[in-house]
Amino acid sequence: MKKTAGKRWGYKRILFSVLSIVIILTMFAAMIPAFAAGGLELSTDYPGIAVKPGDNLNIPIEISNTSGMGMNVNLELASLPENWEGYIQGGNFQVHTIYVKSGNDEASATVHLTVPKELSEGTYAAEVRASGDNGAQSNLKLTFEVNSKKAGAGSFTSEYPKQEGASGTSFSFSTTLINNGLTPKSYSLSSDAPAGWKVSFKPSSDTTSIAGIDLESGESKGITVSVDPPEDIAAGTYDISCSAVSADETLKTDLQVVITGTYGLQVTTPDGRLSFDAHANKTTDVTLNVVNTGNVDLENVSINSSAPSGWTVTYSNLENNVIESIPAGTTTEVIAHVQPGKDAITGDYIASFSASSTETKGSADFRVSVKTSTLWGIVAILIILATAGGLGYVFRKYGRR
Amino acid sequence: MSGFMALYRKEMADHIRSRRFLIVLVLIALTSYAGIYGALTNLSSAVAEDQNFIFLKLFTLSGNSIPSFTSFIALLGPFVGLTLGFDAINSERSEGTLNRLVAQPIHRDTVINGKFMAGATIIFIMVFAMGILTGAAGLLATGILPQSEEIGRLFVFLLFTAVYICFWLALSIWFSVICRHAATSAMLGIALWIFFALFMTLVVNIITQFLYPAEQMSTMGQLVDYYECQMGLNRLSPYYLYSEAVSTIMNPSVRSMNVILPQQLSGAIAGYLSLGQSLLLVWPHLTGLLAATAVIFAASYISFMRREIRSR
Repeated sequence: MKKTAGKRWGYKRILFSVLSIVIILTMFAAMIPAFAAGGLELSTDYPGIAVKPGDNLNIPIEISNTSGMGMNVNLELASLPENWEGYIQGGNFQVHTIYVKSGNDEASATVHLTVPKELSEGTYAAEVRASGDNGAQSNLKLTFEVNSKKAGAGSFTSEYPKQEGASGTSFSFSTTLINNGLTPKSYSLSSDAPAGWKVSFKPSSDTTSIAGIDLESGESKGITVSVDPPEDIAAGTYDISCSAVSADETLKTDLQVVITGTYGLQVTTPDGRLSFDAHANKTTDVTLNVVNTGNVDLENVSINSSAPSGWTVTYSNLENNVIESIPAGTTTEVIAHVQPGKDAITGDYIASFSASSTETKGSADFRVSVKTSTLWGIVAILIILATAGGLGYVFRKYGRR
Repeated sequence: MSGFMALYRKEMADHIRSRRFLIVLVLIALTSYAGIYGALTNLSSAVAEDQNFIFLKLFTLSGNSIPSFTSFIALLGPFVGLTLGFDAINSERSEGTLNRLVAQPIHRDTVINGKFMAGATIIFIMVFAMGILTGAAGLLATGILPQSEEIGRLFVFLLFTAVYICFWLALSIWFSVICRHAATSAMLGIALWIFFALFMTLVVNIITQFLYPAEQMSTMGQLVDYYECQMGLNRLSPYYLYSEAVSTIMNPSVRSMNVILPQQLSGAIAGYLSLGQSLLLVWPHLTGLLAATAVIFAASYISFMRREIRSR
């Protein structure tokens, strides 16, 4: 009995001790979270930012742990505005738990957010939550302001808006069209180039000419503007304004083309044949076409010839062998009277004609075939006939006896 | 006219059947083939230099020691003419057949006309046959087809050759009329042939050097006069005339046969003349040869008609 009584007392003591320990432990357990809540801190430098539709945001966040011991911290995007998407990146991984050392070393991560392409004005909020192993927690609220005025108008720009080249050059401008609006837009492309110019728009990665282009909100597209001036364009500076027009905005980019002066003279004949026949000491007329192949009018074009010695070359309708003016791209006809020397031998000679102004020069070599006059052939036949006649006279006088 | 045709046929038959004609034919054929052979030995190197008018080169190229076809003909052509005509009249006379001939009911001039025409026909046939045969031999040896222009030039060359040989025929008939013995007329003909072919240029040199002594030559003009005088005198020789004409006809790059001054060559391009232009250059030569033939035939005609024909 005594033994039993003694045992009973011991049980009570043990129960008390256990209870006390539980209470103490419970007190301890209650004390630790209270301490840890101040130990985790989630922060970013700019918690409130303005965004545009379609933006991809990378927001760096930092987590500091002052609890006195390192721990794993769960990270999550606690709330996101509707249609927004996001994840958290740490190092090269998409992460949901991060180990944060105790002390001054801060762990960092990046919050990636994709702003939807369609968005109305207003303020949006997202929340990042960090919760440690020991129950410590920290929330970070990020606010995003979407404002159509701040999103601004679209832009249409060119990298090199001024280009220079000779006539006949095709100019190519690399432009960029950006829709900065909050909604997708359809732009129609046009230019105010003068008549005769050819302006075409092509996506920079394609060869199809386009008249319009659809751009999502925030999208940008490279457009190559090809400008072909007319063949006979005069030298000078030409402004071409290209515009991209959507329902609510007109974007313009001003392009400038500087056509440099080219000078060219060509000597040819109406049928392009550079040979003619001539007879010794007889004048042969040759029609020369002097062509101004440049895009600048040429003044005082002098016509010269280099013919074999003893030959004479004169020109009709020319004073001092000078053409006063040849407008750009036109042809002037000159008739040259070529007289081979009187002792020119039968066969081919070379005679060259050149046209020269102070700026440029053109020439053509002609093959002149000097022919023997058939007159002497006829005279020879007459002599043969006369001899035959003489023979016939001899026959009649002395024959038939 | 029937008398002329009968005499013409008889003369042709006599020529063709004579051993003399055969010898001449063999001689000409041999020299022609020698000329072609000489040209063939040098043809490949000449073609490497200039690839135009290869067929004509067969006739104008000379071998290492063999003269060209054209120079062979220029030298031996007169021999053919002389052989065919040197005894035309005087052998008939010495054999006593001439007065029998003129006793026939034919005109007297038919005799000399028939003899000349028969000789000329033989010459034309011979020259053209020989030219075509050698051309064919060249064609066989080279395998190069002649162009139409080359055929034209060859034809003109053969025509010139025939006229040239006819000149010598007329000359030898004239000698046979004026010389009583066939040997004399043959000697006379051969002497003239050798003189024109070999000594004429030497004589002309002596004459021009006498007219334009070298120590008095001081200006370019005098030099030109000297050369022109020399050329003019040389052209009196039918041999020279013929050679000049043939070299122009057979070589399309020859543009002039006269003295060429440097200023005439300024601006000139090496090129070929067309056949028509080459012909215009040698018209005077053909005219001269034909006129000389006609004049000499007229002389022999007149002297034959005036000659008394008696039986011995």
